Amino acid sequence: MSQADSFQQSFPDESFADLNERSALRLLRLGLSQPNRPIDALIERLLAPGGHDWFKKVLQTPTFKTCVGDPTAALVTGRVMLVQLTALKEAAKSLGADRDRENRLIARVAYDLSIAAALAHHGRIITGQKRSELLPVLTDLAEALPEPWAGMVIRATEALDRAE
Amino acid sequence: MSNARQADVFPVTMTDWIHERMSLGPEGRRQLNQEIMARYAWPLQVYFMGTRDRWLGEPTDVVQGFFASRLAKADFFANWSASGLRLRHWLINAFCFYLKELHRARRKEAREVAQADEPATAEGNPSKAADRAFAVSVVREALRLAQAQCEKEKLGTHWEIFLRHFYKGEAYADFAVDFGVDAPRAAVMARTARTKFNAALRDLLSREAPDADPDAEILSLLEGSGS
Repeated sequence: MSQADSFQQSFPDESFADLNERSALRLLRLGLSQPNRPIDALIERLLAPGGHDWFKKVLQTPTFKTCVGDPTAALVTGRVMLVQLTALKEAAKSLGADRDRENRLIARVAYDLSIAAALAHHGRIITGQKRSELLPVLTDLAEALPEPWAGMVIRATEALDRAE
Repeated sequence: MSNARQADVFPVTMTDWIHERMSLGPEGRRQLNQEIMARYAWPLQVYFMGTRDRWLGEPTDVVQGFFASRLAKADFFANWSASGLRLRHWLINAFCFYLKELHRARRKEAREVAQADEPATAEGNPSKAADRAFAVSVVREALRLAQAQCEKEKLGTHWEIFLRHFYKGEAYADFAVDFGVDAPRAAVMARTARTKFNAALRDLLSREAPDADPDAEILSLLEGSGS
């Protein structure tokens, strides 16, 4: 038996053989460490007991009402113009400077959902964040959100590859 | 080589990995070779397919021949460490020399004079293609390791949920009921399995170079893939 033959016999079994490049890169991003990201405070709040009830109340706050009206119709269903989403994002940035932690969390919800909705419904990136940073943020947020919001954010991550 | 001396050559993570296997004797070395082949066979095959030397043989055979030739060398890992290169890049360099050797051998066999005596040259960018293939290969191995870890810790359901969501791309709400949980609970269970996957992935990437930083390795692979 040749040396190459003996290596052939000991070659490892193939599992996860159907893993394609795109899926692999998505999984690869999961491995990035995430020290002290602003999104983590929001995720922690969403995953805490009563987190999803808290989220529903957040959606009724003036920040959302003023910029997009009914948040579910606008952000989940997509009945919203890009300019409204940009306005929501800017309003969130202003609120994000507030000294009150609760307001900063509300701002984070508005900020990330506006970016996700712009991607999911318009295929546009309305933030200066790098794609490689944005994707793990949205992926992690989707994990913590209730449906149908999680689904919308997942659609946003899918749109990110082909977004302008 | 003593532990102390080896620690001078390899930083802690790499030292641990290599030394642990080497200390097991021939069986340990076989395991080490097996790990290298599992992770790098596919990237090297992709690299080979991007060169003008495809005529030398089937990619699987050529890469196995390369491993058989090089992994049998006692100084294989010491040479890699001394190179300061990422393992995949050092392997590609070594693979180019191997292809050149094969090229010469075939020429001699066929008494062929038409082909120029030159190293394996690339069409397109086979190194980038090999990096992309490496990303797939290392993720695949991390999945295998994380799956084994989850099975060991009786987290089979957590792992299944992780796969349905992160591997197959299904929404929690669409399948959580299959596991008798709601979507938020499924997300939390997937997070547990994800932690195992992350740990496996980062561990593998920390072995890629003597001073490897897993985050830098991931970003390098993502940037190389155009993400």
